[in-house]
Order: sequence, then structure tokens, then C-alpha cells
Amino acid sequence: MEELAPSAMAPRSRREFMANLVLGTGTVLGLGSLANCFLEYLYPVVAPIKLVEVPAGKPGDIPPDGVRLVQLPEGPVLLEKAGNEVRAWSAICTHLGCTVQWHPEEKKFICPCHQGIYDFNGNVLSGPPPRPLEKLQVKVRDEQVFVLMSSLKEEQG
Amino acid sequence: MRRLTRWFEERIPVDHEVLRKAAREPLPVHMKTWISCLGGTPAMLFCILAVTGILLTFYYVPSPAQAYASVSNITFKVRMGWLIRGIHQGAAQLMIVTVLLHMIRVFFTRAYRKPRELNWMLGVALFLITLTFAFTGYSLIYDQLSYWATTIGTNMIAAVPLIGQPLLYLLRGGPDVNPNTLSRFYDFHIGVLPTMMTLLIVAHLALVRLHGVAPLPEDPRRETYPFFPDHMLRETIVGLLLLIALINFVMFFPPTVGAPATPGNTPGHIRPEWYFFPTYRWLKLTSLPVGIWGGILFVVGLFLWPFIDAVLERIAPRRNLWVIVGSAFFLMTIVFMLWEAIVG
Repeated sequence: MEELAPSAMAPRSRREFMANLVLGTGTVLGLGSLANCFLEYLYPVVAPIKLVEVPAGKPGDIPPDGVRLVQLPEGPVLLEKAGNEVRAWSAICTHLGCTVQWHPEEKKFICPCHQGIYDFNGNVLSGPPPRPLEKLQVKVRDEQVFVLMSSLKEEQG
Repeated sequence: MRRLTRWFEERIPVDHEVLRKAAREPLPVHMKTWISCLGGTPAMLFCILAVTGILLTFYYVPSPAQAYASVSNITFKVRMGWLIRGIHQGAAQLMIVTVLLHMIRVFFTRAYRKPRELNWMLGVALFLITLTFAFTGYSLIYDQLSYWATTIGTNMIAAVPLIGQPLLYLLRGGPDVNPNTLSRFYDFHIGVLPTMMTLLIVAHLALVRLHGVAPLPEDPRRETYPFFPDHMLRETIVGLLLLIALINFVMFFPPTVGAPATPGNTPGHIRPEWYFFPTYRWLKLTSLPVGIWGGILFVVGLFLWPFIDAVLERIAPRRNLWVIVGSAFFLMTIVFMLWEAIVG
């Protein structure tokens, strides 16, 4: 039988080094792939985003030259009437996701969280928001307003 | 009785003398001040939080449909529920206060210097875990503050460069705040974070024991006193006084619940708990990338502070730059906190 090295400090044989290398690599790869499985398990299954037409009430419900906030399952939407045209914006502040509020006396959208202020056209007037409010496509059909929004009915794993 | 003791001694073969020596670890005499108990206080509060937290899980239901109702049930219907929840909430706030005070004490006595840099870093990790505990904790109530704090907090993570988006999905369990988010926050709050905190507290204390308590700069006294029973007694008195104060506070100011979470409708006046005021104000003042990068740099700077201090010392040995930089950041945090508290 082969004799063991007298102490841990003694020079290792090539064979011992190779054995340790194979064991070490195997352990790292094995545990690494297990950790990867854990991570994949935790990462949600999300279906690709689809655009859907969402009914958002009647054009008559929007005050003339004013704004109406509607809560849709896909998210809050601001409907605006400029003359006869109906326009829509996502009411989600582009800063950190709070819902902006319409202030009719100032004709501004103000985010209550970090004081982001947007004008009547959704452009940033002041505060930290990095982008204008997201403009949404609108269709008016049979006296019904439809807003084109991304479906949030994701498949959750 | 002697037979019973011998029975245990045979089965747990530990030398009594070793145990006695370990318990009577000599501490420098400057530790005989109440402010030096601040390090042990968060550990005691953590125990109070663990006990009351376990009790709360008996009634809490981590689903968006039932979370709010279950918290209301604990607060208003379950016998002594208001007391358990009140102590849990109060101890959490006190834990943040004591951790901050402990950090300030360690900072201004420069106890983080070589060879204790690693323990400072463990301490910063414990501080961040404490804040994450607080954040996930009030997200569970599922009232308006919970919901919008979760939305804002997780959106901040999305703004982190490169890994932000996948990290957001991982934390929320989807692109938006959804039922998965609440389960994940609950898991973090009652499983992941307590485990991490326990392990880190053990490592933090082990390093304190291995290095010994840091000497006070320019203190010539060399006398010591034993940890047990002297210091232990002082820590126990602090712990008991805090518990009495907490119970009294809860009696006079029992916990309440805000309006239920309404996704899609942020209330007009919303702001987080006081300990997030400085971050909240900072985010109001800066653009999003500056806000996030500023936050990341602050945390990295806090972690690496012992090494930054060493570099500052080398650059200007007698200028005491560490006091200037430390006091500037400390003052800035206080100003931001007061600014948010007063102006809102």
C-alpha cells in the first residue's frame, strides 16, 4: 500500500494534485449547476408582452378640455379631451412607478411620490422623471374609447 | 441533583474552566458606560422581534386578498394581537435607532481600523439587512403605504445598471407588483433575512471576541472588568428597560392600519417610514441615474470606509479628514431627514 505523506505541508504528488483538481472542479460544477437550477426556479415565467385593445369608457365621460383617470386591469390611464380628439397616457410616473394625479387648476399632472410634474401633453416640466408620460394609442369605435395597452396577464410560475 | 449534573457532564464533555473563562472575558474599563451597551441592544431587540414575529405568523396570511384583513384581525380582534404587533413594530423602529447609534459610536471612536475592518463590513451588512427587514416588514401589511413603498422600492432596483431588470423580476416574481411579490417578501422577512442576520451576528460577535473590544483612542487606562456578570448585567438592564418602555408606548399608542392597498391609485400624501426619509429626499432632488448611482456609491463607501480612512490618513496625516468626511455625511443625512419630515 502506498504510504501517506507525513504532513500537510509536504510536497504533493502529481497524482494527488490531479485527484484534488478533479474533485474540486466536480464540486464547483455540481454546486454551480444546482445553484443555477435554484435561480431558474425563482425566476418567473413571463409571457411575451401582447398589445390588447382595452375598453376605457365613453368619450362623453371625459370632461371637455379636462382629464379623466380610469383604472383598467392593465393599469391606470389618463384620458384627455382636446377639442374632439381623445388622447390617452399611462398614468404611471416614469420615475418610480406611482400614479400621477391631474390638477385641473394648474393643468398639470403631479406625481405625489417625488414631485415629478408633467404638462397637459405629458412632457416633464420639473422633478426627477426621466421621460414624458407614456402615450397610448386610442381608438373610438361605436361611442366607445379603446386604449391599446400591453397585456399584463403574465403567466406566473 | 448531583447525579443529574454528572449525567449531563458525561454527555457534554466541556471543561467548566474554559466556559468560565470565556464568559468572564475581560473588557476595557471604558465599556462601563451606557453608550457601550448599544452594540448588544440590537441583538436583544432581534430576539424580541423573532419571538413576536413568530407569534404574528400564527394569524398573518401572505396573500394580497387576505394580508390586509389578517393584519386588521391581529390588530383589532385577536386577543393581545395589538400588543404583539405593537411590540414588533416598536422593536423594529428601536432596532434601527440602536444600530445607527452603534454605528455612529464605532465611527467616531474609529473602532473600525486595522485589524477590525472586516468586522465593520459585517456591521454594515447587518445594518443593510436591518433596513431590508424593515422594508419587507411594512410591505406585508398591504395598506397603501405598503403597496406604494413596494412599488417604489422595487422600481429603484430596476434602475440599477446591468442587473436591474432581471433583479426586479426575481424580486417581484413578475414584471409588476403581484401576488408572487408578497410571498417573496414574506419569505425574505421570515426566512432568508433572519437566517442571514443570525449567521452575521454570530460572525460579528466572534470577531469582536477574537480581536477583543477596540481600545478607546487616547485613553491611558488599562484596567479591565469581566463580561459576565458585570457587562451582561448592564446589557440585561438596558434590554429590560427597553422592553418596559416598548410595552408602555404600545399601551398609549396602539398600532393602527392605514387604508387598504389600491393599485393604480397613489394617495395624495405618501412618504415612507422616517428611516427612509433621507433616501426619499435624495431621490426628489436628483435625476434617477444620479439618485441610484449616488445610493450605490454611498453603500460601497460605507462598506469600504476603513480603507478609505486609511488612504485619507496617508494623504493628509494630521488633518483628521475622516472626521470632516464622516461629519459631512452625517449632517447631510440629518438635514435630508429633517427636510423631508418638515417640508414633506
